[in-house]
Amino acid sequence: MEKSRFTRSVVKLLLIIITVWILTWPYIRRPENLLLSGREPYYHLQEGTLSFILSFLNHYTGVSIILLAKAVPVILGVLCILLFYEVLRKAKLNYGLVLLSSLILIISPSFIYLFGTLNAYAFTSVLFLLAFHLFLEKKEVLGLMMFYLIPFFGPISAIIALLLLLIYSLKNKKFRLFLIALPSLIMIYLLPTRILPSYNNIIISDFGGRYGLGIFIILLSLFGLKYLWDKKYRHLLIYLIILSLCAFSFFDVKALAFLNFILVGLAALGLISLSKEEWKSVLIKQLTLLIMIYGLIFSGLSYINFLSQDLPNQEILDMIEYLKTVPEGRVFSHGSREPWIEYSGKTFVTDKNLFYTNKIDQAMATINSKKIRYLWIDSEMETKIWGGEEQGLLFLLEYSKNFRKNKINDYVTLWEVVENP
Amino acid sequence: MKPRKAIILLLLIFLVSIAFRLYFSFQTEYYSDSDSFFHIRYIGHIKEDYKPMNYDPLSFGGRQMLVTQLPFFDYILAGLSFIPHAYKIIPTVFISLTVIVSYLIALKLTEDNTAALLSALMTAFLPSILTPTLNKISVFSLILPLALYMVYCLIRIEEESFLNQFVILCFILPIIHPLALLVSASFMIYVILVASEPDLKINSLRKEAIIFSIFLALLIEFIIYKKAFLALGFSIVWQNIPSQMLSEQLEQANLLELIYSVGIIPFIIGIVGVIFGITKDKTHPMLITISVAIAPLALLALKMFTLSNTLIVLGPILAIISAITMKKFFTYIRITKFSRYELLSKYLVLALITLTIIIPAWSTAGQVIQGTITKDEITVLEQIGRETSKDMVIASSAEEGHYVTYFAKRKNVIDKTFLYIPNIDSRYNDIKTLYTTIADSEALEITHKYGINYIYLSHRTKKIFGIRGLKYDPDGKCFRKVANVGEVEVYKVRC
Repeated sequence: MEKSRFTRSVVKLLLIIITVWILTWPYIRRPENLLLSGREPYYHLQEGTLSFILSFLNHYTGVSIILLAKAVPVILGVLCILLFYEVLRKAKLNYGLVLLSSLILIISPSFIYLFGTLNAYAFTSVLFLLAFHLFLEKKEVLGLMMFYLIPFFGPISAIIALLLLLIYSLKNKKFRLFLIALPSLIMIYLLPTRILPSYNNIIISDFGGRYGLGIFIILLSLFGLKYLWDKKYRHLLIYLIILSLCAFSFFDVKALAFLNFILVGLAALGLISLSKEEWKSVLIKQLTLLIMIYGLIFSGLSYINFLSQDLPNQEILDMIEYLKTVPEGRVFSHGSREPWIEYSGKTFVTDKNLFYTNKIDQAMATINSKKIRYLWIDSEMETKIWGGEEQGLLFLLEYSKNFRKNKINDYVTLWEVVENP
Repeated sequence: MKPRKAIILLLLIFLVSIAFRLYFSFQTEYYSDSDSFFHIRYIGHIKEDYKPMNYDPLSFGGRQMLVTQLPFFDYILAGLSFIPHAYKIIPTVFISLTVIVSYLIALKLTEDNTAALLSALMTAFLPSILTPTLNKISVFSLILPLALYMVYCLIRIEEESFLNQFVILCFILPIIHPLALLVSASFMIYVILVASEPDLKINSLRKEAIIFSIFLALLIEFIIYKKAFLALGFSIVWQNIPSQMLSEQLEQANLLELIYSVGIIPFIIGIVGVIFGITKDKTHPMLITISVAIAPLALLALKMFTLSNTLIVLGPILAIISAITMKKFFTYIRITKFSRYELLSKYLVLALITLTIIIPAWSTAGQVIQGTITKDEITVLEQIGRETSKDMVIASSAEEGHYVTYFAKRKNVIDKTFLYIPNIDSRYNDIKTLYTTIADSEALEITHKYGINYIYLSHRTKKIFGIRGLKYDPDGKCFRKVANVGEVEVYKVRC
């Protein structure tokens, strides 16, 4: 049933308030002086399209880059929710389903990651939803333009977007849309964008997956799928999209962010179908629905907590600041530290073999060949790489005269290579 | 058999089970594993503070305790501690309730009182239940009968009272022990088993109850173990047990020992019962019960469940399913020329159970009691406790960790509450090296690493590590024997 304009406006306003509240929560819970959480934002602060956008906004508004890095994703999150809501509504879905899907999306861990941190996929998702919104509004030219903007934010999202467009075009017999958008792939070759590594490949957020999906969303979406499956092949398009996004997530786990948009819809459908189904026990029905809703909320809240306590901590930020002041030199560390080290303006180097070598000659040969001057070692690295043991490079650093401690705090030690030990 | 007579016999088995366990338990004033002493400390804390223990200053040299130990069981014991010898009697009564639940399930499967009673009798004396629960304060004493009763409630879910009890158990079980997830996994297996049978369909109410129990168990476990899930991910199912300990457990297990643990008779006729259940008697109660046997085996095969936990669940389930085979046997006798020997055949089965389960149970129980901490061990630990300052760290095997914390009231380096301990594999291996190395430099490296002041060495430690004594520098410059009573020694680290 179509709701009145007033009702829709009130709903949109509520969605905006809830989105802003949820997305700013990790920042509010995070100690005031800490910058952004995670690794990727530090890459985007220094290079790539996002860095350009932030500098541009900084130049014209005068707002600090860090504040912009926090505010822009939240604004994009609001846009995303409004577009998601509009796209579902225009697709003539049941209004309850539209509303519930939007609410589940807001509290989904994947959405909170996407718009709670500075992230290229946040831009891509908004552009993608905007494109589909424009298609539904019959403004196909404008919609296609969005597909030409997506490659600016990374090659993988561009390929995923085109794949989804291909499925949409085939389904709606508008193959020309895909053909017109296809040349946007050339942009991938023209633009110097870097594929950022995923530092965590766990696909379920409740098991510690940074880009992962909430377990209750997955479980509920299975009920949604079961509901759709009753109509067998009528929803082939959805199965196809899910399968392709699952396949993509094997190559880049961040593709789960796109899958999340589909799964929240299915989860809402699952929840509605379960509530509409006639249950033999009303008590169990009410309790089950309550548990599912609570599970969805718990997953989201737990993820907010995780994000607010995520690295970098104060010690890492202090070391980044200190690194800015030391003489030029390459810094060796684990790959996951690359964005932080590069944010300090120093060149990052890594080599897996160096972590485990016990021989000083071998270690020095690598260090000299890679022109390493500093070595960044922190507590998390000590646990994850060396299992808390003083072995490999850690042993050499401690007992060889070739290294000296340049700076030390409670979490990070910056070692420096001694030129003439 | 008349129901009244069956009930009297069941009560008799229940009382015999209690008496048997208490007879052995009261042969010693102590408990037969070190974890029991941890429970006593925990209960003491609850009685004093009314709150769960958030920080244990002695375990692993001091550690955060939140959610490593679900306190529900300890709260029950604390509440009932006014009963004399409560910590011996209450767990015994709890675990003996398994007998009654086994009877109920077996009766539902067979509708034969004799078979159900015999299966209850087997359950009472199964070595796989006796060993981990006799004279021990173990959460399994409570969780096992409750989990089986939950299965029974699912079987009778169409009756409103059982539906209500099932709902209540869905809330209680996950807050007692993560074993609730195993019950959920069993229900999922049941759904798969039914789906593979074209002639069977799950009734709506049972389906609803299963969905509810799975979601609730997941939610509660996620809330309780939130931090552990985030830190350890899916590997939380191993509870951070050192990998070497897990593999040692699997290496030591052989088929014969497994069969002995479950019990020879329940193992053989239980397997026959499963075959009957899968091929001929494909009823819902049967498939539900079989799925409870499949779940721990599947999890064990995936290395997601420890062997001892698998056996605790598998033993009674096979004993219950044995009732099917026994019923078939009695029915078969009835239709053959030997029908006049039907009663004799029942006595024959009883004699077989007595010979292969009850009599060996006597020796199993004796072994468990023999494994109880000795006076010598206690004397030495208490002496060390008296003669050392409070911040001293005493090294022991993981199995003896809580003897150190309880009797000496000093910090241990390792015990069996592994969850949340960082680099547990390294710590476990270090302690093993401390006791088995021949190089004092290596031993000293380890004592320095963990700040160890004393090394505790008992006959138990020697058996665990397969040693006759410390091989490095005993009574030398760096390690000096400071206590020795019988076979128990303590070395002071002096360097």
